[in-house]
Amino acid sequence: MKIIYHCYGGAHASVTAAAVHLGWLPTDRLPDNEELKAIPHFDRPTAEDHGRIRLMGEDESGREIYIVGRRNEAQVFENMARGLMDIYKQSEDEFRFFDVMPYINWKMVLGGFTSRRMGITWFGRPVIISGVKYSYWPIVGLVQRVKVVTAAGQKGIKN
Amino acid sequence: MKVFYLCRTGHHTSLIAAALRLGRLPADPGSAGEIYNIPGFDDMDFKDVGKPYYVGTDSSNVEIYTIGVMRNHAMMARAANDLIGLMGVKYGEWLVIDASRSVSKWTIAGLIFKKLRLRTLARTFIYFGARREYDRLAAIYH
Repeated sequence: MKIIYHCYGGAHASVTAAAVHLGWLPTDRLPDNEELKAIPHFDRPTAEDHGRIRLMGEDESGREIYIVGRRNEAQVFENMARGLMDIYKQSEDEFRFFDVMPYINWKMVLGGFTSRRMGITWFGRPVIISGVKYSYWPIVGLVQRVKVVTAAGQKGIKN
Repeated sequence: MKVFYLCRTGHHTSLIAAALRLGRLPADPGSAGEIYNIPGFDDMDFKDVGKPYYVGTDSSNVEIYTIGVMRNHAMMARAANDLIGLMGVKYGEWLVIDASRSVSKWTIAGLIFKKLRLRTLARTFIYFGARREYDRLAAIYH
């Protein structure tokens, strides 16, 4: 099974969710700044990377965890992905898509814009890290629900 | 082999390109009626944009599809290529062709009117847009 977390830029929310899923970040305390900065792809992809589906790793059950940035086209992206799955006869269980956008807050928007779009990393990155910490527990909750529904073979979750 | 043409909706520019490739259309489209008679042309709902639309299979057994990708065509082309690759399809057995560069400003205006449910204005602008796109695309395929 391939689990794909998607958000606007594939640089913060989806990366954090994937890192929690893979056990790279703690689920009993907030991660510190260095732990967040050490996650591969955290606050690094640029606009040219949007649409690239990146493998983050394999979880304890052998499921491949991917991230992708799809700007504001969640519906278009999922329509296309499900249509391609039909064309190439992929089963419903082969690919699962989870939207992490509902967990993005204004600090992540401001920090992401200044760091990724404007290139002012020294200002944007601390703002993003503060935003990620603010949304950390909801993201951990999402990942735990994802693990339960994918293990149980259910079709989806409510954000 | 499968070929995917991308444009804003998958039911305008890319559909003309796909129909031209399949040899279903003449070099000159003629009236608005002829353009609107292209199967699937302008027959779409914005909530379904992104779903691949099967246009036909050519004489070389190549299946032709269109996909609507709205404005982010380069990003969605990357996503389509990566998704198909993840599905285990061998490299070279699919092709994603971005027809978005041929989209006319008239078509874009027509789509805005379509979204606003101004049907007559939408049809008129989409027709004039399709004429311009048709000329550009027909030069490639005829």
